[in-house]
Amino acid sequence: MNRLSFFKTMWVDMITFPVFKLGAYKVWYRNFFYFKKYLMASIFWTFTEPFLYIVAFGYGLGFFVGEIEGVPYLLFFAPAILCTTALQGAVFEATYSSFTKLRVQKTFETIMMTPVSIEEVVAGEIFWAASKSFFGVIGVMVVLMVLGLVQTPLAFFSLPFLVILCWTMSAISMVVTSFARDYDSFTYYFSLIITPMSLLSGTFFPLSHFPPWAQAVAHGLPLTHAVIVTRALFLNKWEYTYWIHVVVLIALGVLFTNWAINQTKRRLIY
Amino acid sequence: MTEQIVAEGKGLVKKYGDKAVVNAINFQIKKGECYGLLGPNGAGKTSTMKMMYCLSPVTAGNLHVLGLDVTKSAYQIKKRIGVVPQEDGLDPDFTVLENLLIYASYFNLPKAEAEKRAKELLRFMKIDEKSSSSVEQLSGGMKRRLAIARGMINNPEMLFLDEPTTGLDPQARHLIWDNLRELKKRGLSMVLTTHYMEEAEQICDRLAIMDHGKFLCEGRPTDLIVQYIGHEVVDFICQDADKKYVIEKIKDKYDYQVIRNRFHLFIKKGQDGRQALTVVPSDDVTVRKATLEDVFLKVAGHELRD
Repeated sequence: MNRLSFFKTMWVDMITFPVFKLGAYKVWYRNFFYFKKYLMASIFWTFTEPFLYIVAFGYGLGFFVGEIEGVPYLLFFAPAILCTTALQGAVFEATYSSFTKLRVQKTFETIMMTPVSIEEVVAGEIFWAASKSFFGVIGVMVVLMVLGLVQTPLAFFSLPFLVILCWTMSAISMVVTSFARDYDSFTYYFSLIITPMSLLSGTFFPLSHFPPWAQAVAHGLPLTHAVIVTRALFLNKWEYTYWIHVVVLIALGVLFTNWAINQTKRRLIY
Repeated sequence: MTEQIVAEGKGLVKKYGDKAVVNAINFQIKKGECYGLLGPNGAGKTSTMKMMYCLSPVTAGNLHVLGLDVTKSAYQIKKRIGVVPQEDGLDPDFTVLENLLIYASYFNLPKAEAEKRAKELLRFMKIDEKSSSSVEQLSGGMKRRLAIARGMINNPEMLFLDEPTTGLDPQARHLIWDNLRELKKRGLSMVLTTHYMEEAEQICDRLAIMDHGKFLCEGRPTDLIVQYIGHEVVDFICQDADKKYVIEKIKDKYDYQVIRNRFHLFIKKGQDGRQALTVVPSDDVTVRKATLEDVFLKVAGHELRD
């Protein structure tokens, strides 16, 4: 495939809306069933990591930083840790876990022998990855409440918004999975996209200190939009122009969900 | 129509790029019969079957399963068929019983019914003792039996088995044959691919030998043997030096085939195999019953396939 036809296919995939039905829920449930089986381990890991981050960065680093833009560092950082939790959970589930099911265990192909279609399989996977990472988000939210970092009721509106972020990141990761040849393929995704995104989206420090070109790059990253919105809600500084960030995330979610479904379909049905 | 047709292909073609792996085949599979697709590796058996269970799109021609067009009614067909793929595709995240229950959920089976059927099937396939074991702990034969049980979970009208016993030891294989015969007795229509001739002779009512995407012959195993071979085979080894002489002696009386330096003389009904022995310049000779393997080697040739 030459480069031009790759982009053409990508674009067509993105705007072709696949049809799927209840079967997607069955696939979601298969994953939930597994999650339930190892609930204690799952809960342990979803809480431990963000908790370590809060302690290390919030209290450790925060002690030296003091305030950022008139806000205590811990409060500046809290909304960001929610966003990176959403990101990490979705990305891991929709890459390593989904790839295992797609390639190694042939779970997708097995499901395709039943009335559940490939569209429903991929949609179910994406929504599952989103659900699982949202589970982590709720966990972090509880930790933040306990630490007294949720200081305005508006902050709770970040939860429905984070559902969108979880979904968008799952969809993007699923696209990567649909192209992946082996586990090593994900190394590129993590080191070229996910890690830079976690660091450069205004998570640990404000974007305003970046040179303009770096700010422009940052605004191309979905996490930047998520951090802006979540932080505004936490700091009670919501403005209606922020809806644009919500729209950007939803648009990315739709396009990448379509792309993931159509590309996986092409890979499995021939 | 006296006999019901459960699957019918007309001019069925499957192409990957320019290469036709299934090349305009025609067939009819009757209700309650076990139909076998035989052939060397890469003959097009699995591709044919994958089109039948609606996993692989048809390139050209018509294909109906249970009276429904596979290109239009995949959802309806999949609800009513069972599939046992070549790689078992069992879910290592779950136990034996959970594998069946999760699979049942894809068919929208109510939970209680799924559980009842799953337990019945595990008993029938003789793996009920392993219900709560992890799939990883099962032997190859048990995995296969679980895959068959899984294919039966929706009480299908038709079962597709892709090489059901490949890689299994003889005991495991016989156990699976018993299960399949029992399912056939209950009236289940089956399609299976295999490259074990014995398997085909044992359980197929009718079969087709395929190569290069085409049917080389089709019929009941016993009919094919009589038609292509006869009822006995005189089997002996002949040195290169003697080959010409032997061929001269036999060519007018018998059909034969030479595989390197092994001769097979086909003894038709009414001919006497022992008479043929007089011309054989070798003590290393056997007279045996003709088998499907003889038919296979005759129609598909004996070159090595990779």
